[in-house]
Amino acid sequence: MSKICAIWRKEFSSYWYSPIAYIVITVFLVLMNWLFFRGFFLVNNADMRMFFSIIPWAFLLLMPALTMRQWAEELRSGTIESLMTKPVHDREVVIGKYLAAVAFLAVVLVLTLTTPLTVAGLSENGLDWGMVITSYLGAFLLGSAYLAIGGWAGSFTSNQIVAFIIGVAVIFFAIMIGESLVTMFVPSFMVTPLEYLGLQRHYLSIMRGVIDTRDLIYYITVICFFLYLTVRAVESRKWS
Amino acid sequence: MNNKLRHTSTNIAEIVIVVIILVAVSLVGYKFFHRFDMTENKQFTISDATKEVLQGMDDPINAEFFLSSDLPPQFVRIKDDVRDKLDEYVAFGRGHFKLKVTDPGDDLDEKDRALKLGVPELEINVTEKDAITVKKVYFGLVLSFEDRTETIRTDELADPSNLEYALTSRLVKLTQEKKPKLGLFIGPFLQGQQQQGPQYETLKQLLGGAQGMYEIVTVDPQANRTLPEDLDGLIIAGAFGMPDSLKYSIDQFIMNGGQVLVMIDPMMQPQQQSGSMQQAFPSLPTIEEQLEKYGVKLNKQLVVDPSCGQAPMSGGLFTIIRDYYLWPKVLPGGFNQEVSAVAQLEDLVLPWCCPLQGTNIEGVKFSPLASSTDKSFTLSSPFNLEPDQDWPYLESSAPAKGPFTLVAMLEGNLPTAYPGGPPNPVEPPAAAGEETEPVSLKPQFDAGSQVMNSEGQGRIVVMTSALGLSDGFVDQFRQNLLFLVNTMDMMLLGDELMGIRSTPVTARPLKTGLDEKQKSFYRWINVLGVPILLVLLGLLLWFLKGQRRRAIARYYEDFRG
Repeated sequence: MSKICAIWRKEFSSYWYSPIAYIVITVFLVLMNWLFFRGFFLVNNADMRMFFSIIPWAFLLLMPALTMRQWAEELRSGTIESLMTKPVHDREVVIGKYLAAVAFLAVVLVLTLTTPLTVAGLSENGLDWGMVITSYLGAFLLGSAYLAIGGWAGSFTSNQIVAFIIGVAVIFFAIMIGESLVTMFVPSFMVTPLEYLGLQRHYLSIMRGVIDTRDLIYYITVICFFLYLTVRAVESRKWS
Repeated sequence: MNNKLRHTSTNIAEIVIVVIILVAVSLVGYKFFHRFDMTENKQFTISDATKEVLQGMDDPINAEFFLSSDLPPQFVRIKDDVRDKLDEYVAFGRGHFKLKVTDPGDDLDEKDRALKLGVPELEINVTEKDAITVKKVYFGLVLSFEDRTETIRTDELADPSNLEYALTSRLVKLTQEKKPKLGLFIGPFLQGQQQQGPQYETLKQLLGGAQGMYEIVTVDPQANRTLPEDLDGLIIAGAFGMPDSLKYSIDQFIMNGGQVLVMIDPMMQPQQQSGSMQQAFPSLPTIEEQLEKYGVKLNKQLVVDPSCGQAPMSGGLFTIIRDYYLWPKVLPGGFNQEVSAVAQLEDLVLPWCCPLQGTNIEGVKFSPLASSTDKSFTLSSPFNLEPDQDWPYLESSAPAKGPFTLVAMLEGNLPTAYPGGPPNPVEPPAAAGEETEPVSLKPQFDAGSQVMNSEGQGRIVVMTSALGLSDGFVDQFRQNLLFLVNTMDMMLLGDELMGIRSTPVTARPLKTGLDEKQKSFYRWINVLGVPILLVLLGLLLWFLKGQRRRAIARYYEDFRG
């Protein structure tokens, strides 16, 4: 556990000494708020739904941008060799790096809190905070799943751009697989399983203000599966 | 090479095992799940009643939501609410409630299909950039089961607080194997007078016609001394001329779980004469005493309410349509918001009606369904029916002031109105001049089989105006028919519908009086505020890091020096 903590600390602090983190957060916040407030006063309703519905697409670019350097940088600079020869287990390295990215995601989400606070202040009858809290939980789970997928996609290459593109492509595929644009072309017996596999559907369900244990299990399953694959991918480097 | 091959095969096997475990976990989680509704008003908690209906479905119901993609802003929130509710039905339907969203767009075939299914294209006024434009949109829901369809209108969809009732009642209707039997007793208008009484053909057609959900059985006071068997519900439109045996039969019907809508006019209609209306008197007692024993009393004074329907008044050569205070109109705030069947109604006009009072019978729940406004008051007998009266004076001297309950529901443990046993049979009246032989009066009812309490099963809705649902009035006040349909659905389409109460929806409009400058301020403080602070923080960290680096460099230089 202490080894995971040490890796987490090192990884988390490294985010804040890199300009990429600031660029990513700034672009994310400006984009989210600009898109949200564009129609907010027109609709004249204190509802955060529009804000949270943008998140899956904003995260599609943000999360791979965070994870692209997780492994690629280690591979490019050769530090992966020294890391792997240290008395730490592969899974401890993977979990430490992953938790650092998750902590960064939590900070990003905290920085968006000004928006619901503003909306609540502008509303005659306040805001449905139950819905807002579950939306944040959903965004956190969705982002965590993206990070697990992005981390796995980036573990194959030493090129950050390639890692980013693979991450975006895999996450996009995982989103679209459950959307009606895809399911309308598959046989009916496959619709329900595909819808269940889609990353976004579970988030949209939580976003309404309903926490369904099936959605929680889904995200935990996805995260565990991709972390496991990442461990395997990292381990496979030792075979040759 | 062999080492790599061995690792690869082991790895693949392991991955397959992990996938199987995760799929198993997901399947178990899918079967045994729990949902926590965190919204303020428990907006997505569908009632146990609806869950039972959904779980009881053996064959799939297909829901097709006709929805245009470019909805005007005022529809966006409603669309979300409807989608959310439908998603709950899908979640609890476990594959038996299938949802499909269709945007007919410019496809003429799809537009035609939507129209045939009862979803017309709506024309909505949209204000954009200070100009009003008309937008054509689709917003309707069609439920299909086998070869039957039910359409949920836009106005029903637009009321999220009652959407569950609208959806579940349609599901129950669609999946019913046989139509419930509904008895209809129409009391003779005024016995012995030539004047024709009110007709209820529209009511019959609506409930029992080709599109109706019920099988109507007419209860004739001459032919039926008791209620026909197998009735599920009964409508009494005026109880005049009802024999005692039929009253007792109705009592036992209620005691055995029967559902009864009683409509009673509190006033005898005066004979129309040319010129103005006349005075009128309270109607003769019919079934009122019996109702009192169940828990409701009619106070036969006419309700006067400035919130009223319009009546045609003869004014010489012309007929003038004008407000008539003696036809109270129940406004949205006058409907019981906890009873879905009436919560969504916009108005109900009850001509010449009277207040209802609960008589506090133990175990009986008296629920007002519709009430007059707080500006209403009562008029004592003899009733002056003139439209022009000194209303302020009458109000100041009124025996009682509103709001008054005009429609009420009784449920719970209703006691029999015949605690002393069934009524004695009455000898049929002999024709004039005819000599009669003594007949032995055998009891018509078995006192031993009398049920003394409804035990929470039977239910009565009392409405103090039978005229309000007669043909002439429903033609003018169509909303009255909605009241009728909703009430009968609530009473007859299974008790499950009673469990669906209205879900309050809190409107959250923005504060009024925000000008463009303020809006721009809030917009840009959120768009740029935090990012600017973050950039400043980054610069500070970068500066501190540089300082630290320079300090270390200086330290080593000093050390070397």
